[in-house]
Amino acid sequence: MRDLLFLLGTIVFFVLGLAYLKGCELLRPEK
Amino acid sequence: MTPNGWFQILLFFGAVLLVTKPLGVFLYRVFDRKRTFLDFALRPIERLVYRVCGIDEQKEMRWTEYGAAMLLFSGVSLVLLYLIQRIQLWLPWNPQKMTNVAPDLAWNTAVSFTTNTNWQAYSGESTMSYFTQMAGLAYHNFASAAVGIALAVALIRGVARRESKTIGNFWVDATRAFLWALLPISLAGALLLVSQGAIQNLRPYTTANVIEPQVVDTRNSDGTVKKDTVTTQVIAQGPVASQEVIKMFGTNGGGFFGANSAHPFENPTPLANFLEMLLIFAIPSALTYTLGRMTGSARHGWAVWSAMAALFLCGVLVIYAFEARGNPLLPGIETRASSSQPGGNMEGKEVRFGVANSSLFTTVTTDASCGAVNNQHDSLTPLAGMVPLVNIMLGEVVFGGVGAGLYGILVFVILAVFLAGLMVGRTPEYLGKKIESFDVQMATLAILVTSLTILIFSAIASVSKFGTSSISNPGPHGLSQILYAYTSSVGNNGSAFGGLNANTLWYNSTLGIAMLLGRFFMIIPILAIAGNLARKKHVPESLGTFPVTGPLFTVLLISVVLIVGALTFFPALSLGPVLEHLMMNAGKVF
Repeated sequence: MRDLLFLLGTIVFFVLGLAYLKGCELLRPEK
Repeated sequence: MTPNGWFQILLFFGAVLLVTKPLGVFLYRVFDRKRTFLDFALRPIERLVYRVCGIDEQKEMRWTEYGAAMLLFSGVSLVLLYLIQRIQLWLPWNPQKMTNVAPDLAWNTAVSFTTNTNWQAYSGESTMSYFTQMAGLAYHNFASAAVGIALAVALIRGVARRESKTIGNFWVDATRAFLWALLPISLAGALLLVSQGAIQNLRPYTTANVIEPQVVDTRNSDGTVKKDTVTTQVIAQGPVASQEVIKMFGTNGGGFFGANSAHPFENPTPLANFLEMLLIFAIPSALTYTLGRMTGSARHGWAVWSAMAALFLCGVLVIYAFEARGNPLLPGIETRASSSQPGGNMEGKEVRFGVANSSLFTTVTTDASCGAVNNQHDSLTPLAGMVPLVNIMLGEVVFGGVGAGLYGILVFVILAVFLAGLMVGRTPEYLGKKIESFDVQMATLAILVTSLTILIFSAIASVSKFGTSSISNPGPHGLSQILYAYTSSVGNNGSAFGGLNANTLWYNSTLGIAMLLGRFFMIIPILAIAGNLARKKHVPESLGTFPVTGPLFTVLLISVVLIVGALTFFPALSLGPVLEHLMMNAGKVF
């Protein structure tokens, strides 16, 4: 059960990382 | 402090200075795809890797693609390491039949090695099989270091390129970092360590008869104490040298043994100790020269190097001074060095290395995000113990981790030129690029994420039973232990104060989260800066441009690092090591 939780947590973190990446990109003013 | 001690410290500093340019030029040639003397052997291997992995060497990536590739690579590597630990009992090269690692410890370790932190809530010789050590941990020592170097090079390209949408190819940069930067010196370095006495084998542990049997107290399950006579000792074996060299060269720091670089099989001689420290600083120092060469301003590279060198020398001076002075409350102890004894604070020190080499090692390992230790940081005198803490809090920018040190200091460089621009009332510029609001926002974000993670987790742990129950010394020293654990994790250093029992569900989980945030949530804004700088036009230097090549810039950079890095944590430090120092002077120790 804990295995599943940690693996799921890892996937969630890296998905959040990708979202964070997108968020930083969106902050950039387009010129 | 002794002349001999200072001679060894200055000899080390001179050696770092000597390797900076040659290795920096080599890295510049590798990442700019110019001919090197290793091409005849490595270029065919590189091409084979690309063919097998389906990588197009010529394809360039935008910063978002670069970041996504880095996240994907790290995420998959992390999961693989987790699984290796969870099934190690059924995998080969496990002569001691080490059981599968518990889920929370396996996750903490997987995160730790993926993020180049190498925080260890376990002792390697009693937890990890040889397969896990080699295929899991040592592999990650290479991989996380290669990722760091790739990211630093991507950021340098961002500064150097003009009106470009791309900053390189992550897979190509990481492969080159593996093959050219890390492998050759690791091979040669491992052989050198073996020549000094480091071991390299796959044998079961050796059982030896002790010379003099020892009588020890052991506790029965019902709590009663009985006397036992110990006649044998188990001596751990393993493939140590191959892991030791990349542990230092990749600024990883995760020891094969629990005692880390204080263990004679990892760090057998004073020469091995010197080489290991030099390996830690080699790439981070060289990358400053690479920065200068790739951006066409060698003087800027040296200005950044000078700022790092000044902060390093300050750190080693403070720690050596306090350790040589020792603990004034220990009665009857001669604290001055003489021909018959080393003097100073020898608690927690390996006697082979003494005060000077322990102080130097501590400074080097926490300036860089290495985290290997050859002495117990928990036993340092309070203000000496504050030095490694502050070194990590500054953001691991005093040479720093491989790659991580350079991209970390470039965040401070951007803030420094921004502040200089504010002072003179001009648009800030950095090597011909205008620094605009987005760049400063991203630099601020990188700094805020790390500071907030450290302080919030430390605050929760300090007032919760699940946090304070792991402390071995209550009072200000206990706060220092907690603060050090989170600082070390977020800074991806991995060294520990040593007194905190971190192998609990709370610490394994939250320190793991802290490591992930400290690594990836700092890297992404930095990649954003790289991408944004790359697409900008070049602005010719004018009279109003703040020069980033001279002593004025170096002093400004040091000031920004100290003000932004250190002052953020001053309240926490004053409740920990500073208070402990004042109480020691008032006659109370913890």
